Amino acid sequence: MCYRLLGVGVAVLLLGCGKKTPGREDVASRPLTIYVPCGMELPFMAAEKAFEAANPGTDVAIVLDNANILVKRIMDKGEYADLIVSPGTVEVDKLVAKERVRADDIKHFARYELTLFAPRANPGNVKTMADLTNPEVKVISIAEPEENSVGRYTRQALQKAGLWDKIKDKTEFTEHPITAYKHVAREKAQASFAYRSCPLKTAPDKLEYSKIRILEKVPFNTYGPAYACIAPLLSSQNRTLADKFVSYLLSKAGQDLLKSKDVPALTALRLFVPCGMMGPFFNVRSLFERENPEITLDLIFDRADALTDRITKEGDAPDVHFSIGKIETDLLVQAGKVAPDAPKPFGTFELALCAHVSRLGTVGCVKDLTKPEVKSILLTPPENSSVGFYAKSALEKLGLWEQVSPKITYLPTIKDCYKEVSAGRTDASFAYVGCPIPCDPEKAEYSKVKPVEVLAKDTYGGAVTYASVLKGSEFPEAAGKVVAFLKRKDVLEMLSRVGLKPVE
Amino acid sequence: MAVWPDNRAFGLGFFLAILIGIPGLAGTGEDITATPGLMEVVLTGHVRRAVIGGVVGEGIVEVRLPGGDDQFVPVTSDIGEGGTYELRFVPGALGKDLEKLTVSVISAGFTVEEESIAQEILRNGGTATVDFSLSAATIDGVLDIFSCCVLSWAIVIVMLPAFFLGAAVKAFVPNHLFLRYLGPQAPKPVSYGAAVGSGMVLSLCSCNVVPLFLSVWRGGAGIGPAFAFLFAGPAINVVSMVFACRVIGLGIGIWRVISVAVMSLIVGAVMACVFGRKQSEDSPDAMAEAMGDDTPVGPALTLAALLLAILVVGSIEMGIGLRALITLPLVAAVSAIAYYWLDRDQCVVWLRETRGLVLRVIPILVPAVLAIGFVAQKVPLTATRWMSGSSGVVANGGASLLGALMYFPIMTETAFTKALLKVMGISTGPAMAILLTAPGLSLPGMVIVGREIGIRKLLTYVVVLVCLATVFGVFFGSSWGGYLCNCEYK
Repeated sequence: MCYRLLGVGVAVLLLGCGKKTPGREDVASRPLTIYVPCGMELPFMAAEKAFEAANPGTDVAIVLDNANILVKRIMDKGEYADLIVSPGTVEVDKLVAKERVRADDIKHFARYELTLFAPRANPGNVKTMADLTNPEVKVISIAEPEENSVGRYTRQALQKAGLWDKIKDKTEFTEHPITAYKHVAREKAQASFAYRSCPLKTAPDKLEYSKIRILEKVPFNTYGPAYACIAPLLSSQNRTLADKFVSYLLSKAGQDLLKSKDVPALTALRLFVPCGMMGPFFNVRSLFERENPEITLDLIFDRADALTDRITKEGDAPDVHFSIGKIETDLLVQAGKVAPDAPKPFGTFELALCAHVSRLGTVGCVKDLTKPEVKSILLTPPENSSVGFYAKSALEKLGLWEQVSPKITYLPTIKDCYKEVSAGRTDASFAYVGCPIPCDPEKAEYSKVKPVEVLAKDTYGGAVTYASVLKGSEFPEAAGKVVAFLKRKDVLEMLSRVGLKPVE
Repeated sequence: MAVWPDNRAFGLGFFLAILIGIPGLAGTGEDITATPGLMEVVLTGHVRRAVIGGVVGEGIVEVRLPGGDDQFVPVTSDIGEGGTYELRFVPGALGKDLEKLTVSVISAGFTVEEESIAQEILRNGGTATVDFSLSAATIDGVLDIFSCCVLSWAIVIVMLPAFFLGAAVKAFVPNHLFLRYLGPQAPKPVSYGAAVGSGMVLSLCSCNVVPLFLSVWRGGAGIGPAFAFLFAGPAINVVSMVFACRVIGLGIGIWRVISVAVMSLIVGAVMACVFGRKQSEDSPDAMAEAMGDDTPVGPALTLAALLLAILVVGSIEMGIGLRALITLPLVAAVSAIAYYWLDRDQCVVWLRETRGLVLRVIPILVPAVLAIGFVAQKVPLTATRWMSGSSGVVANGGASLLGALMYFPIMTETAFTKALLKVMGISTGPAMAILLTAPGLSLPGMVIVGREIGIRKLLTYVVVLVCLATVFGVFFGSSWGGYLCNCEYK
């Protein structure tokens, strides 16, 4: 009997005491853990409630601490979190460097406004940043720029204003932004810098707010941009839910909630841009975001045809689509993704016949395409590519289509055609001047592909590019702002780098 | 001419029509009375001193939009001699967030007071009275530093059990239980263990420990354990430990205890190594006899465990109902043990020890805390800049030397360090260095000890400790990171 009991006991121990591996249920039952800087307490508590209400059965756990400490808790102590919120890029970049967060996963949801503030009685008599050099200002308290985003942006702004070296000796660096704030509230320092909304508005109970006053808004173009970010940890076991929370935060409902809690929520627009326009669009984005701090542009580059396919076939839903011509835009209208009156022209390309530098003797103009020596011509399909469509139209108008079409081989993209021309494997092709045929004289000089003849506009009707706000955009107003922005003279100048000319 | 009166009547009628009609025309567009915030608001009131009463006759009253001070010119009014003010403004001119407008008083020497303004007045205009009672800035400053840890009722539920516990250990665990093992004949682990552990039952500050050290030293204790005892005693006692954990933080408190224990062992070993063992004039047995006999400690251990449990419960944040549910049975158990296990004399000794401990600590600690809070507000940040933002050798060395030279009566080094961390923003490394050297070393203590043991031993002892505290400070500062008071982030 004793042995039996002992045997049962051993069996129970063997079955019950083994190392427990986390099963599906454990993962599902783990709450979505979000590490939030304490300055964002109120908005994220509200977001937690709203998200839980919208997703019954989900459990969100908010962990509040100083942003720096949160990062250390994850990096050094190995604490578990699904999402981390960062009041700028400095903190989250540490996690990216340690490969705990993927850079591509970082999403911006707000843009902070840096402000100069002083004790309420303003003993340093500070009115603007320039006054920080006054002798009455003995101590300026700033969060350590190497550790804190707000400190980093402050340093950038002061450097840009030419003040950093002048005030460095009276600067007191603090490990945490709130310490810098408290130094001012206690009149230990005569000035400091903080975001207007975080923590000055989003966590007022933590601060003796009555003891400080904001003196000046630091110009947006002198620092940052100071984006509030949220990113999933690579170790997250709730990745789907984490992504859902991020989507909620970036949605209109999430942004409205953040705005109601004084967070300068950011309208994040997704822009589909043909990769040929990549260069100038980075500059366009910089200028646009500087002038519209409440909007951020997420540029998604791909081949023109691939972008169209992503919308029409894969159901992807950007806010704005940029085309390199009529065909791509028409496809979106036909698919019902863009309203017929939505596409707005923002530039025109010049269509050119191009050939390898070694073939220039053979191909001197469009008419030469009919020569028997010209055996191979490459083109993109006219039915889904604007370049192909315009080239065909021009050849038809010139009465060459019948003779030339047998020599044409169709490749999916302009890039494919261009590569073949560049490698000297074909006699000629058609492309836009500037996209991809270089229009910069220096680059053009070294390019193996030369424009043979720029086609007269009346032969193909003009290669007009369009910007279209998609029907499904959550932020049509902001998207419209981007489209309107492209009509500005300085923006058109930027776009001229890829050969785009103003629409006549 | 006959038409003149008619024309005049027409003109007059037209003029009257314009006079009457303009508001009417305006009304067709937008009725000024219907638009919130466009009617004038008049705020009046008195500004007085809080607590002691009296008029505040200088300063300004200001209407502002918190967080938007830079977005409009603030509306201000001087406080009159009689402490009255009158402030007129049109809320609509101060931005759209009418509901967020506040009125506040700024007066030198007083804390800024800010009040929200009644929504109805802001929307519809009219007169409202807002009176202010201003607190002295210095008192508010002291509360700002210590209200979350020392000057709060919450500390009572932690410190009161700590006092009872400290007194119980002192009353029921005889001094000689530890001290008898400090002799040179005792095995090293025992003697050093006793030296460090004796801190639990003994003195509270660096000066109190000196006479006891001298008696142990003269009694023939080994040089290593004697110096380990001299250093560890003031920092390792129960009340001091609990106080440090409560005021500065659990992590830092525990770090300090472990560091002090390690440092005391190292300094003891170094002293023993450099100066050899001091031969006892008395035999170890004689020393033990001189210290007295053992007494049973069974009930005391149970009591200590229960008091420790009460202390731990007191330090955890929970609702009053749950707290009562857990604490009351523990208190009942302590009472039962005292009633059934301890005799009357032992209870009396225990309670007397508790009273003695409280009377020894509180009359010094509370004024010291107030004084530290007051001074911390007056000292400029530049004075402690060398300890801020750095966990280097210089900052930690300087801090440990400062802690070694300054005299801190009964646990005040904890309040001092807290003020440095919270108000002056010094780094955690130098703070730890001060916490390590401050309890066990002081200039007056050094003078007394130096007379007895000689300048060479004293210098060695102090230099070794300062160096050790520097090393521990550097290590702690680089691994712990910055300090934030609980009240500043939770």
